Amino acid sequence: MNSLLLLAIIGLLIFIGLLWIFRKRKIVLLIIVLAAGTIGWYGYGEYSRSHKDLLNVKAKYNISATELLHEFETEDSTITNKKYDNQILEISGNVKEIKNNDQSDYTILLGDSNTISSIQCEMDTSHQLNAAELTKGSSVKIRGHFVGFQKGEMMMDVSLGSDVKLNRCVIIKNKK
Amino acid sequence: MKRKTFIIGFAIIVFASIANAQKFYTKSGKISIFSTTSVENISAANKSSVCLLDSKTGDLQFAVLMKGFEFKKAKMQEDFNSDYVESSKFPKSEFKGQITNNSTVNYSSNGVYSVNVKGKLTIHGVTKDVESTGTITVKDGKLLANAVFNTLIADYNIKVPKMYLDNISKSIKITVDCTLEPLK
Repeated sequence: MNSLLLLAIIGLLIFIGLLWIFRKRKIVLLIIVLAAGTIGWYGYGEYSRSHKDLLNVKAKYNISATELLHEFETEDSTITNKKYDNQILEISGNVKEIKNNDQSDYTILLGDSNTISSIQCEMDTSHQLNAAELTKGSSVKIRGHFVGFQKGEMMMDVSLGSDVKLNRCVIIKNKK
Repeated sequence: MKRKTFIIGFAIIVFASIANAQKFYTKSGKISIFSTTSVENISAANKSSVCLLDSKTGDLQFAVLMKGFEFKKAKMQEDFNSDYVESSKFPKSEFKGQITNNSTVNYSSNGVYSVNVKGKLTIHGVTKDVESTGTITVKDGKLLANAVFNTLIADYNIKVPKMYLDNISKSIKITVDCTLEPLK
């Protein structure tokens, strides 16, 4: 793919060179201006590109909270981390806990209430209020961007449990 | 006499269990990074930092997944993860340290206490000694842990592409803002 692109660029340069030699200099200038414009436009677009609202993005994986946790706890986490790396996931599960801090950033924990591990969903900043409407124990579907699996390890002799972390989360369905 | 022993025994158990409830934690702590230059200001926040504090010893630990930092601009976030901190190779950053003046904090009484923190910070696979001042606010059984300190990008062997040398500060401000709950 890259070599093909290189070939195309070299071809274009030769073409421009020929035009230059055959005194079609106005056309050459026009091509250069257009190319610079396109590159600049693309570059600026890339530079200022913001994250997409996940309400408008289709999830790559649909999975339940317990299944996902089970997958991470039983399989090699480097492989699973790679599988979900940078992907959008849609998780269905029970709301275990709803937390919010002073700045009213909401965190939803999904999973079984009898285990310490959970799916930890950081709500998207523009969809915080939807989280406030959730009730503990209700079943919910949340779409989010996969951040990683934080394996439960002993910190000062206590285990805080393993968590699958998602951010930019949005609530898809809230069944009572 | 037997009754007295029983009461003393009971009191010991009660005190022991209170003393046990001396660890505070969060899994959704906020850690922000900020870079300012004449060209632009860049900030990013991670809202799922794990933090654990032992109020008895003053031991303090943080663990942060680098991919959890959210930038406003998507391209910056991608560059941050792939080129700068190499999140796939070094997914986690950690701090392990201590509050050196822990005895001045009264964890059972509401108030704002200034603390000094000292420890080892690991970012991008490089561990360095860091020291910072901060505050612990005790508020109705919960703790707010705040600190602001600066780190040099070069200390952690993070390379900034030449093209962006003017855009990214050599010194990054790190802000810690965590609400800790008692660990049951």
